Amino acid sequence: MEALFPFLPLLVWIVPIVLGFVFGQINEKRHYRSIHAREKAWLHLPTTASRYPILPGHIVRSELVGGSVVVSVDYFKRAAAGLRSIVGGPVKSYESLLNRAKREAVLRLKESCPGAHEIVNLRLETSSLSNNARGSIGAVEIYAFATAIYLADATAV
Amino acid sequence: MKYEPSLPQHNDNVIQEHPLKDFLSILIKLAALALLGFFLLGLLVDAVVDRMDASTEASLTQLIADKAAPAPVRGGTREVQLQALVDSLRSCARFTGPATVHLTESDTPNAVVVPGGHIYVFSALLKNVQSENGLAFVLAHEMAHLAHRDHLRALGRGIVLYGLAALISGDTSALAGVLAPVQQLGDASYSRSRESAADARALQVLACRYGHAGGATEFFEALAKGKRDIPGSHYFQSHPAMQARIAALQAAMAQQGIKTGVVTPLAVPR
Amino acid sequence: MFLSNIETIPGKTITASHGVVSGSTVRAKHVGRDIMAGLKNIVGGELRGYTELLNESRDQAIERMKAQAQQMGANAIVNVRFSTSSVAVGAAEIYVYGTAVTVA
Repeated sequence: MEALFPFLPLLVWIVPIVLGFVFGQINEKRHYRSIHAREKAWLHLPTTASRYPILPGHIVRSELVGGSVVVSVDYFKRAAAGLRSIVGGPVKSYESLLNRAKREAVLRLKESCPGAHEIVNLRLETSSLSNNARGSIGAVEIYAFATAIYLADATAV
Repeated sequence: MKYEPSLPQHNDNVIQEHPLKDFLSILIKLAALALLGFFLLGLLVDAVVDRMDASTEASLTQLIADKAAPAPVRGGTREVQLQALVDSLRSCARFTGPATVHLTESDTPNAVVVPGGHIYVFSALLKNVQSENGLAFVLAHEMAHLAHRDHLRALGRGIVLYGLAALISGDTSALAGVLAPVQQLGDASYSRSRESAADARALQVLACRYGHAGGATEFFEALAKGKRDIPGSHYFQSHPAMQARIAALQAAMAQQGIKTGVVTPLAVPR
Repeated sequence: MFLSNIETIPGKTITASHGVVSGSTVRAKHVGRDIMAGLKNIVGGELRGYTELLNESRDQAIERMKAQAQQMGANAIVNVRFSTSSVAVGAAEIYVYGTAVTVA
């Protein structure tokens, strides 16, 4: 154990990055698999960002629905983004994170209204919740909201 | 209007390259740049301190010296003897600034020098030297730090290097964390070089005072007993490893033709 | 690929809708721009460096959205909306989304 003491500064630096990388990658792959599966399952539900419904039929009821998710960054992504902010350019580590978060929020929106026939006027809001006032990102909240439309016509799924 | 659902085959919103590649490439480039920058700025600080005149040094030291020097636990004869030994080294060290010895009770065998010319000797150190020569070497080493103005160098480097790092990293505290090992390596390496310089000067002072360098490595040998040198560990240490310091002293003695000789017994009681 | 931020492409009829498509980029500025921005904080005025940065990001996000729509077999995107958010100090995310449709 004593042999580790001189290397302590290096360990303190490297261990969170390695942990963040390993577990972050595992989490990300798992999340993407789940997202792909659920998106396939929800493909039957028409969704638009427009205000007017696509499907014909008598509208029985409509409802404002939303789905939200708060994602946090692992230490590896944070370190990579910190390095990027010096040299500039695309922050690839955050792109995948936010992409996942948005898709997750939309999926949660769809899951919150089972039996709806259509989703119209889909909008997304992103806000950054910083736990530490200065510097690194604490977490990001994505909120997706839209109007769910229920039709009377039984043939429209 | 019909609804024709489909899912995109590939995700254009995410760049599909391995995240480590991005991270490592920027890290290596930045680390190399940072090391180079620190090295050059370190040279600049050294140049400024070397050329500084004595009055500027005195006024700067005044700013950072402890206004209230902590009183030692016991004064007494041992402290007086140590002070006499330090004063006897002055002419050989060519050091005219203040050098006041304080003896402190402690179980750690060490001696430290504090800006303002205060040399603190910890009592356990006396148990680890066998002769007056060995003790004189340690005191000469501390006096060498004063003569080299090492405290001013440390201060200058601190201001310049940490200030620069703060300017670059700015708001991103994550980045400061990422570049920290680079800074620590640089600091440790510089500190070791200053320690080696103090060792070299102390050797010359010892040879001048006693005519030989017997007893120079006493203290290091006493501390090195029973300690294994862990390979690679010294990169982060502020002082060179004991074996390395002994070897460096022996090499310097061989190179400069300094011999060992009979040592004077220790007059200071342990 | 036609783009518009209203419900239709003027002069054309929508025949099929394919779902919502989106494009996003996250970009960071480099220290040079940061230092200039710091100076501009004193004198005021347009931060041209940042304007360029965000314009490039927006163009790239639109390209990504078009590519996704193309994969789905659409030839137009209606009801395009933009969203910019700051996700970390020094990095901004540009997000653009719309409905992919086929027009005739």
